[in-house]
Amino acid sequence: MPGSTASVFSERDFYHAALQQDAGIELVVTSQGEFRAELIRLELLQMHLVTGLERLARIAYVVPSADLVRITLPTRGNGSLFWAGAALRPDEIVSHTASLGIYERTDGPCHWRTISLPIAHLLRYGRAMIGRAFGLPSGAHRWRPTSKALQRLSHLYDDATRMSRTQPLVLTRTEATRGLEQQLTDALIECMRASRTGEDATIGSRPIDVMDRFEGILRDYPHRAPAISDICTALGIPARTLRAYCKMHLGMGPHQYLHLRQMHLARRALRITNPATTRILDVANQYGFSAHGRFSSDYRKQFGERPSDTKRRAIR
Amino acid sequence: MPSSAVRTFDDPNDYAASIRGSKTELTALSRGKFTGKIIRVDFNHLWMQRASENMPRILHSANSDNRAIISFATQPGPGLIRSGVEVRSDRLARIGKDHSYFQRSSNALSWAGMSLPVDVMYSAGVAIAGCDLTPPSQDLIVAPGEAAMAKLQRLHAAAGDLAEHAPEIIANTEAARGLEQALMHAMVDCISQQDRSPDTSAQRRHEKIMRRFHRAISEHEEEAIYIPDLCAIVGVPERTLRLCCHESFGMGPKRYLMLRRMDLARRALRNADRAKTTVTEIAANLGFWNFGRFSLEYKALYGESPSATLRSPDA
Repeated sequence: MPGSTASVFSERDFYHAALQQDAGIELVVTSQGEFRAELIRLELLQMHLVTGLERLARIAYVVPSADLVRITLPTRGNGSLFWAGAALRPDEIVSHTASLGIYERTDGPCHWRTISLPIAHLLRYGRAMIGRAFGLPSGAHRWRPTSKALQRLSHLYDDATRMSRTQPLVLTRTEATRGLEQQLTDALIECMRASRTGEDATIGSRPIDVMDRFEGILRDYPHRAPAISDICTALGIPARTLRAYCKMHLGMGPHQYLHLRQMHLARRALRITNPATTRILDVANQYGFSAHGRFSSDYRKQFGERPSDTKRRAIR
Repeated sequence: MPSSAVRTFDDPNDYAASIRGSKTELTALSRGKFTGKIIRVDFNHLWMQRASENMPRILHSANSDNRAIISFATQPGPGLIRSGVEVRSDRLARIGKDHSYFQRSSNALSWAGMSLPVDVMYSAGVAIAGCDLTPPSQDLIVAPGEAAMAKLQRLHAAAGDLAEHAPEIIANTEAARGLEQALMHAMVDCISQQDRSPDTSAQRRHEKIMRRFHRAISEHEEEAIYIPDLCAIVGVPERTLRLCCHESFGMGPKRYLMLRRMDLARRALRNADRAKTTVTEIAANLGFWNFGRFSLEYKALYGESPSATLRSPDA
């Protein structure tokens, strides 16, 4: 059903939940302060467009939905998006399919834009418009379109987003939506056709593979985090290598990342807990925080409120 | 019973519908008011028409009658471009049996057509020039001798003049028969020349693609169509389609499709009941999702806003 939604979030958890509609995303907000994010979602016939406007820096581990390819356009404004450790340049777009998870991070306020569409749809039209040679590399791939092609895609995207705000009903009509979708398909394929490939165009290097497995390991530990040494053993790399990869992809070392991640998990637990029966001490312990006083002050610094405040406002 | 008619048009679609002998569609290429005129004379066997338009246009033509048809310009100057090839004003075209093509003009144009039932053309060819003038399967451009062409032009113009100023002469059977014979003779003289430009394989390929292009468009007569779907249907890459369209239309497929959608919008706006619909609804139904952009383009093309078209009474 074509249409659009625009939502504003003041809670990390709600934002995190909303992001799941687009792709499997694990979110760790890295900077402190009042959380605020806006999500604009435009649902076309086969494609959907998602725009995010975030105030705080964050790390997101992204796995697109199974049959979809997720395209990331250059950010608007001054914010930077780091894709698998390298900044997304203003003259490139990235395509990403489900065979690989990627860490995407920002270092401050960011206005990002994505298009997701079925891989089959892109291949069908790509081959029709360019020829049988058209292919979509699996995993993640950087494309460098001509500036004309990229401008066209970018303007079309922004026009569509603007229309969804000013004339939301127009984009609920099938024919109008089909027109937009065909134009976007055309513009996107043109970007891919006229792409000048760089040396590291297909992002399939070892650090990415390792970091994908890194996140996989963390997911196997829903409460207490594994020890770094255990992670290194499982990954088959020395600690200094893990540290280097984390700095590259996460913008911080593994200890700091794990700490933040655990804080987020603890907060999520507090948000859905029963305030009458839960003790903050227990939740803190469950997620590996033994020094209670330290936990409380870190928590307050990170989230701008005390653990008890979160608990009191818990949703049931 | 011979007859004639003279008609002027201000709507390109009405004009195209009145062009004799084939199913035609026309896309006007200039801003401003379209004016077209058709003078038609029907003799016993021979049908002829003289047409003129005041602005460049793209015309698509498909031969559906079982007649031998020829076509030529009536004034010197830039001629038509048929399937990417310029037909000089001193040449004439023998329209093929499987004929279906796009032709475009780059400015105002006057042109002429004549047709005979195929069997009459055959007998006339044999009797007058001793050759078989059954229509070819593909279009042929013929370069007649100067004298032969001049005579045909003169006679054709004379018939047109009569239709406009003394139609009663055409209605007179005897006078008409004499004129018809003279025209047929002049036509056979022109086209029985051996000198003809053969179709190259590139041209044939081009025409094949444009035929498929046109079929795709006519299968979506009342709805919008776009490049990705079109490439998938026609089965050629966008680059090839773009080259062919530039040759046929003097513009790329995107612009052509957009003009076509604009034309559909204009027709819809003119036929709409203002009480029952809005400009936004009509535009959206044709795939125009960016309403501001649509209004600007529409005004630039037609010299009035879409709402003005909707408001004005049906012509």
